[in-house]
Amino acid sequence: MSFDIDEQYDKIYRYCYIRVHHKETAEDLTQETFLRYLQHPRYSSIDKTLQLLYTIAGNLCTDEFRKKKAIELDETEASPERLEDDVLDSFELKKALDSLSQEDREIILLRYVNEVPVNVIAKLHNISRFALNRRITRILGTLRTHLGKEELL
Amino acid sequence: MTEKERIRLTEAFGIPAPDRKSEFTEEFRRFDAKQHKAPLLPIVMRTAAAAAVVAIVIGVAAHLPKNRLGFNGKNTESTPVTTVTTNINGEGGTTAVSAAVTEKTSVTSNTGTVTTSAVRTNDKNDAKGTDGSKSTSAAPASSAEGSITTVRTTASEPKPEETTAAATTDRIPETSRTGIPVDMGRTYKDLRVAPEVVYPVRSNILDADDLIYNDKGSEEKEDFTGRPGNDGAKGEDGTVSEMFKNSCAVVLAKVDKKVYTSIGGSPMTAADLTVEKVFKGDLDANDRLTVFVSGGCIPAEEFLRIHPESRYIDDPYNTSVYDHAGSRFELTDGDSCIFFLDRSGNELPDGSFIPHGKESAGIFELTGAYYCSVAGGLYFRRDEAEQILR
Repeated sequence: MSFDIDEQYDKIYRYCYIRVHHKETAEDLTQETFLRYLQHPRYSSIDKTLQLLYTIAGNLCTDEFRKKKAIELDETEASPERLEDDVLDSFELKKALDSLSQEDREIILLRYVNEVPVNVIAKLHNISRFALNRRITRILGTLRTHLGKEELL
Repeated sequence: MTEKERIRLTEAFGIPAPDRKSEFTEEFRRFDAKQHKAPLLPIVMRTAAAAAVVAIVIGVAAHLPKNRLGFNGKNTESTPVTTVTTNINGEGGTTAVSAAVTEKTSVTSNTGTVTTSAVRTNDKNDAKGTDGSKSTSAAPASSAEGSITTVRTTASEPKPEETTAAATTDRIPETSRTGIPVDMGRTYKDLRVAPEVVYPVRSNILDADDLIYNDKGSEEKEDFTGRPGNDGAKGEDGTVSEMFKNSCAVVLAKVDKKVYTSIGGSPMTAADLTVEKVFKGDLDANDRLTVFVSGGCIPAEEFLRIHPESRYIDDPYNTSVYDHAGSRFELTDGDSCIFFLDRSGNELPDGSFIPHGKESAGIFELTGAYYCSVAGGLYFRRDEAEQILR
């Protein structure tokens, strides 16, 4: 099953970045993910293709994490110019996201930023779809609590 | 979630844009195009699997049992189930070889279903084998709501042939894929039925005519005289042609085996026939059927119960009484006769046949150059059979 490499590159990159918190490493891992994908047989289902891509990316991130300590992202690296442009809501949202656990942030990223189907995320985290939905609901509730408003954004 | 919200959430994650995306994506597309070839193995496997499924479906459809029996539409009211067990014992040989074959035929016709199962054991003795012992017994049939189950036991003649397992099994009728028995490469309908009661022949045999005072049968006894068309024929058929016209089926058939029974107190002989030639009717050559003929042997005590006016019978429990019922000849195993047949009535087992006319007038036995009715009166030349029976 062929996919749009431009679109999936960005999504896998985001996924890797949120795990390793390092731009260059995340991009390396993203490219390595696609190169390894080429060595696998093709699936006819897009869901299975996405699951394979995210599994490869996740394993590569785990290996990278084991190799060296995670490099904490310098908040000043990306923040200064964005902070000038971001509205207060975005800053509060970032704070709220930072308050989440690493796994919860991954789930929110995959579901709402990368728009990965629920069943693929559920298989990546080895939980049922219903459990994943409950978890997403709980995470969104936590974010609302931190933001102090009904609407998330 | 709207696109605007998604963008804001993406920005909230604070993920910087990748720098080397365009170079990599171009390179990836080249690699992907180079490696993206349709694998041959899955296509071959899927094609083979589809062909196998089609073959299985065709095979199953081709081997489903077909409706081969008509029964003239008479089996629409009941569902008879007949089980025939044939056990063959051969004695006198020390190198007997046994082979067993189980035949099972299931045929559905209209709303009726006939299931016939037969287990046959064929023993062969060596060339020096003595006559095989024949034992015939039967268990009473169990019947419930149109269902008849009968177990019948009989015996076979020892075959003075060289004993080989292959030769033994070759002689046993096989069961075709359609469930219809095949004999000598031909299919046949097994219409045989078993009587509810089978009487053995005892050591002492008395003639019923000698036991009954004012025997009516002897008064009506007629000699074998006259040509076809003479008024010597019994029943309403004056000629063989009329009998042919009024019969349900006319066949030349061989008597495979006969047993004595009684229906409603009247002694009867149930003869299993194998059709050799069909002159009329929906039967086919090699079909098996059972014809119930009036007359036969019954135990003396049974005869006394039916005929209390009978003369005294000494030691009735070791005596059989033979009632010829107007027949001049008795059917014997191996005889080939021409049978003018009708469907049996209510008292007889469903699917059986009776001779057309009174007192077995519809049975013609070959005597010299003539086929003569066993009831007397009608006869025709053997070489005229083809012309008359058409």
